[in-house]
Amino acid sequence: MKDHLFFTSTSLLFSPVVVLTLVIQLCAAPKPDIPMDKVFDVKWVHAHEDGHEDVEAYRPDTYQFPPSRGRRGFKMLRDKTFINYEIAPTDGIVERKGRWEKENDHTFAVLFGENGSHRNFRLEFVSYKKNLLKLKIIQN
Amino acid sequence: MNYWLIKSEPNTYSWDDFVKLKRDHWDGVRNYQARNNLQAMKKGDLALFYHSVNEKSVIGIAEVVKEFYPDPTTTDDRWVVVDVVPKQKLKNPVTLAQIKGDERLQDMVLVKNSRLSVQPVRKEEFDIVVGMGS
Repeated sequence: MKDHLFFTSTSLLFSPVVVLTLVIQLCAAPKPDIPMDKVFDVKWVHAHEDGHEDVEAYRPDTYQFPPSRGRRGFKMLRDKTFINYEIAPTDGIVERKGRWEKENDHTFAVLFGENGSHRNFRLEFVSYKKNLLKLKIIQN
Repeated sequence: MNYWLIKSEPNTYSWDDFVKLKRDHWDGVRNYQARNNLQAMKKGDLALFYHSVNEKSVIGIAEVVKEFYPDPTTTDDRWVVVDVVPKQKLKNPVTLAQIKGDERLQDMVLVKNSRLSVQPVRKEEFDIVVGMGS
């Protein structure tokens, strides 16, 4: 009986599900270190040339971008104001103000409140290097 | 073949930028009517390239070389692009004022709904505008 229990618990310990879970946890990417002091108050402009799959890349608006007809962007102010720069239906860029709330060191909720139909979303920062901020936009 | 007019702000993306790139996707469209017009474009269609904002003039002619596909600059699947190449620069830009002042062009979408960024043009209108700029 004891042998059977030992065998059962050992089998469970090394079951594919448990092993896979352990491997995933061991391989999980470390949480990114985002220096928010360098993110705040900068107008970040979408650099679609540097993005891949669901990770979007942004550069400061002072960067010499290749010509492109539509570049959206955003700015996070320290006072928790969030400014979204969107391509307007009439072309050109339109500003939409909301606010941001910190969820953790690299995830921020962006809220536009009851004003209009604009959807709230979350910014999940992936990495920061000088002049290059990578993030995921998660629609709520 | 169908004819179109595509508008761009020259301080953002000018005819010269377009010529340097040689071929580009026409992105930045976030208006459903303009999007529908992009979707209606066929390979070989010609488009008047229009500088909006301060210049307000037709600068050149672009050719559609690839029909619509998802806009690669956004994950929002509502928006599409087409690929275009510069075909010919007009010798003289044709201004909106000239177009509005020509009786033959009074039905142009540009005259009636000047804010639409991608708009259809009739062949006779296309030929008149190109003639004015030649």
